Amino acid sequence: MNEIYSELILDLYKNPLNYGELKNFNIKAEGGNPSCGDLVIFTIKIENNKVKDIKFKGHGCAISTASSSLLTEKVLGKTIKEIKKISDKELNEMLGGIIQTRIKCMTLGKRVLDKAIEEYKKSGKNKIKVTIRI
Amino acid sequence: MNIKKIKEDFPILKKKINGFELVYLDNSATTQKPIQVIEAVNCYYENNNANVHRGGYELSRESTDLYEEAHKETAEFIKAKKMEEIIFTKNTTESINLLSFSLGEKLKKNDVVLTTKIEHHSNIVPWQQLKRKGIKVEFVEVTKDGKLNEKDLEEKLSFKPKIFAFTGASNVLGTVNDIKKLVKQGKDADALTIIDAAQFVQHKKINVKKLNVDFIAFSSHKMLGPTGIGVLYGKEELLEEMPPFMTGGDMISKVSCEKSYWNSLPWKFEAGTPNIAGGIGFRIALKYLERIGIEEIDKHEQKLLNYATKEMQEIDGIEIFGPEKNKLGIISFNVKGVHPHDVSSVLDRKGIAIRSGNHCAQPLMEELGIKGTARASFYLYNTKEDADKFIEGIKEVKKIFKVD
Repeated sequence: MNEIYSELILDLYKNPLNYGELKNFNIKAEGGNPSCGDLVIFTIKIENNKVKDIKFKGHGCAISTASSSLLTEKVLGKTIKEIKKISDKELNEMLGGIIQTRIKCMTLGKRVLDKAIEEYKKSGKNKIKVTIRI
Repeated sequence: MNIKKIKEDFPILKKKINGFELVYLDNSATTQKPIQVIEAVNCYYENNNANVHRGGYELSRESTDLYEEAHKETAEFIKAKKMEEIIFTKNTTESINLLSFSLGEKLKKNDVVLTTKIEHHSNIVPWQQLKRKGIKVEFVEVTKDGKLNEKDLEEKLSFKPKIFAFTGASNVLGTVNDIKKLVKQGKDADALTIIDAAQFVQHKKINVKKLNVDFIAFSSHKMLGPTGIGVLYGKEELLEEMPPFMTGGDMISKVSCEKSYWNSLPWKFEAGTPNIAGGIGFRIALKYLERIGIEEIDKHEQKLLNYATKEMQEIDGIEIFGPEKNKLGIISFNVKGVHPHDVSSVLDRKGIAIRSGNHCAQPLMEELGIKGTARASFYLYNTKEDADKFIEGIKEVKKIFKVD
């Protein structure tokens, strides 16, 4: 066991859960940070205001990949309101704790997801595709 | 060159990071400062602080003299004709913005500015701003190992660009350009030649007079000096012709409500109260480098580069980018299966500071087909032990991420 990355982060980096792309989605959100080069794409199926299915793909460091992957698990079955409530602190705890210098990597996926859901609600449409720059 | 003694001049190198002695290998981003520079800045504030070119009193004369001395020292360092050719800016980026603005005034629609694909964003983005005036910006292609494509260069120069702006050395790959040849090629095509020397002057000697280059730009903080001081060298006759970039205080000789007249060089281009303390600290940094000798520093870096490169080649799954020869003490690399940020974080836990990401050179990254790299860059205070710790750190990365 090393003190930098939890086993969970290393596992999720190598074998991310829910990796891929949904063909049948209501939201497709692509977001990233051009200065670090990380990119994440969420495809989300919404039913009765809840996340029915979600996948993610992209390329990123261990922390951003693990964080986005874990997030897809966490938000499954949740309402949009509930997703908004997930805090950075909670995310950090779920990941087993990350180093201070890498908070931005951890929150990248969450920021993209939050923004995507917001845009979806605002649009009033059944299907949207958005690009988000963090 | 006594590295042990040099290292003692840098207080920060005694600092512990995560319980380990700091191994600073991000010198291409910025260098650490020797005690002589830190003391010079303190000393100025304690003893000589007053605005320059202003009061007719003793203290102002002192600060003016010290600030002007810094211009003279810089002129000597790059072998410029005189201090009138040395403009202090905030950094290389500002120096190039000054050129883009001021030279851009005379350019016309469809004129071409030629730069290259190995540039730092600071030598790309300012030129792109001229597109608003219908000026075209073109790029010399790079080869797979990060050198300028000579055939493409010749072809692009044949279209007679008005400006040819290129880097002395790549901040990402360490590629050292043949500046003598490039200036000559630029001149033969009747272009104004500009060298982004931010990664060059602290490692290689430069003689702007012999080189016959029109402008060069570099930053104090990458050569042991304070942040917030940059240099623009320009040929006197060209600077005389150019309109000022920023206007206001100190850069004028006479102001009426209708019209203003410019101050003499170099002050015409230094509007407002300048970074006096920074300039004074920079002068001491230059003196420090001259005392050790740029050629000696370069030799030392090359030794570390060769040693570390050889050690890295022994490790499986390491890809090193850039040319094999003619490069600075920079190693840009990736560990297979590990993101550069994660490489950097693992090393950081052992007190080893390296850079990761796209290094402000996104067009080059695109050209190389990668998202980013990890980068270690050496300078005069780095030791063989630093290189060993760095190599050990990479092995640790592979262990943690279980990649073989």
